[in-house]
Amino acid sequence: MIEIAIHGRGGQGAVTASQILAMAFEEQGIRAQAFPQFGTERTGSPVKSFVRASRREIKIKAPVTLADYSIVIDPTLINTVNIVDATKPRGTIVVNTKNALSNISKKHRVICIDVNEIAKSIFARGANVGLLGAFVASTRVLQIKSLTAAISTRFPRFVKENQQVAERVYEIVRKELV
Amino acid sequence: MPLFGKFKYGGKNVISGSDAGAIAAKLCRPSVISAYPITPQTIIVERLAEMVNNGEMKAEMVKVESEHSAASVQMGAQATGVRTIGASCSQGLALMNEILHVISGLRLPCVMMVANRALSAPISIWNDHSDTMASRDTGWIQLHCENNQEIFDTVIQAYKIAEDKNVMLPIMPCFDGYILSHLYESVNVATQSQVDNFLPAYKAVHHYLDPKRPITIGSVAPPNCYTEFKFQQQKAMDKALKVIKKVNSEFSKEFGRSYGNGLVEEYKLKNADTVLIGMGSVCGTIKSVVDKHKGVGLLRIKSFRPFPTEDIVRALSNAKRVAVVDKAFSFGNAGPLFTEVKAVSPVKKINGFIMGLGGRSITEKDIEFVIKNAGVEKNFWVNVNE
Repeated sequence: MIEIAIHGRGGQGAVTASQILAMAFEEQGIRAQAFPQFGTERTGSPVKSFVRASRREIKIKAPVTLADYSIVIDPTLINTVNIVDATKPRGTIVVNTKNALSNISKKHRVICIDVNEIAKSIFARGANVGLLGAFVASTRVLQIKSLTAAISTRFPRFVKENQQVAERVYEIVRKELV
Repeated sequence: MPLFGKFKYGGKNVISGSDAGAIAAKLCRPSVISAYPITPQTIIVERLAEMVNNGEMKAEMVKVESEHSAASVQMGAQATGVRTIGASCSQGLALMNEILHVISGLRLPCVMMVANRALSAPISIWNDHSDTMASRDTGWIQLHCENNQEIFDTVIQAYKIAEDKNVMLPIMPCFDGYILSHLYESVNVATQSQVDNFLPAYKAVHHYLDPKRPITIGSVAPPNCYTEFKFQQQKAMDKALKVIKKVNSEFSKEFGRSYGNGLVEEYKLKNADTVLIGMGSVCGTIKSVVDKHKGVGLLRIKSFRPFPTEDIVRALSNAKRVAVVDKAFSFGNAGPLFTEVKAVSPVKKINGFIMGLGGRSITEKDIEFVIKNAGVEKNFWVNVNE
């Protein structure tokens, strides 16, 4: 079982990203569930959404307390929400940031990428799916084509643009990690 | 289904519990939708409205000004002899209370989804079972679901159970607000023809309102016959026990999925000394913990009304300790599920655990606590800050 936490602020697409990720796992026949940390979310307030993926049936219906992967759409949340401690030691933290933040933890693999800049060059949005591209590059479990398929399942519009953002970020991170 | 870019009938889709309920309702071809939006049930109403708006669903969506009216409209529509769907929770369900009794008393086979949520005050938009436990004595059948697939399947089954000529009672398919209503997971969505095969078109046979054949329903019952009406309602509940089982196995034949015997689900009870009992999504978490233990099992109560006494007694015949998890409380006494199970339990070492009120997470650690303290001479409010 892999447990993933996606952190963003209301309006940045953390919940949508978690749904797409669950769909991407299911594309590959891996069972998945996605659910938000249920709050009275407002635009700008911290939002958490979780994904579980497993080869076996996922019975548990409880929040993820210690994630294998943390995906951070908004870097200002790193200190607001205790993301580092909520990630398993030796787990991965993927952060959308202009600055090198790899010093935030020595116990984790920290991947920093300025997804906003890449998304802007394509259609000004899509930082959330861009980070999913980075996630796919950082794990061997999921293939990029499953992610792009999930994007086309989830979005009624802007499918190509979102897919491009995801693929572009995936390529960059994959090369960096080689 | 324009929920997303792509959606397919006759296959798997990653959808929310609310989507599952709304799509299942659509496939049952109700003629009238009557519901007032309330968090976290809102998405169900939105989905139904979308499907009516884009012509996918041929039903009349009645806009109402409150839940009391929502239930009244559903009652009135069903009384004309057509299939209906409703949805509510929490304060909304509480506001409907008066009409819920009338619907069951009139023996109208309405189906209304409940996305379980806590009751005020203080305000909580989050999940527990206070709302449906407070509706216990309204005469509605209550079927509690563990996951999104079960929501989809239970809504379809609900019509078949409710409309059975031996039952003719309203049903609430219940599922945990947020925990399931907002959870996305893979659901095998049936095709229209599969559902049509399983669930024939509704034909009201007894009393229904028709201008060509004027009748009055729900008129006064003096003391010489009121008791008989209530006795008949209980007879119907007794018969529902059998019908729920029958529909569960018929559904299994048609769709390849079943939920225990329809009333209860026994999970690893064979060699279990310690048995946990619960309802709804928490049973998923309990199962994942039970999988790590030897000698621990789960008895999931799917049908809270009618209460499956015989099945509970049989399932507990080898148990030594029983722990009942309640997501609601009856003030001045104990958890409602605990009280009822204890009344019929052949096991004397039985205690209750109050958990998950107002959306407090129930973790695997909490379930470990229940297992450790199962059957001791004391009830617990788990994780309460005294």
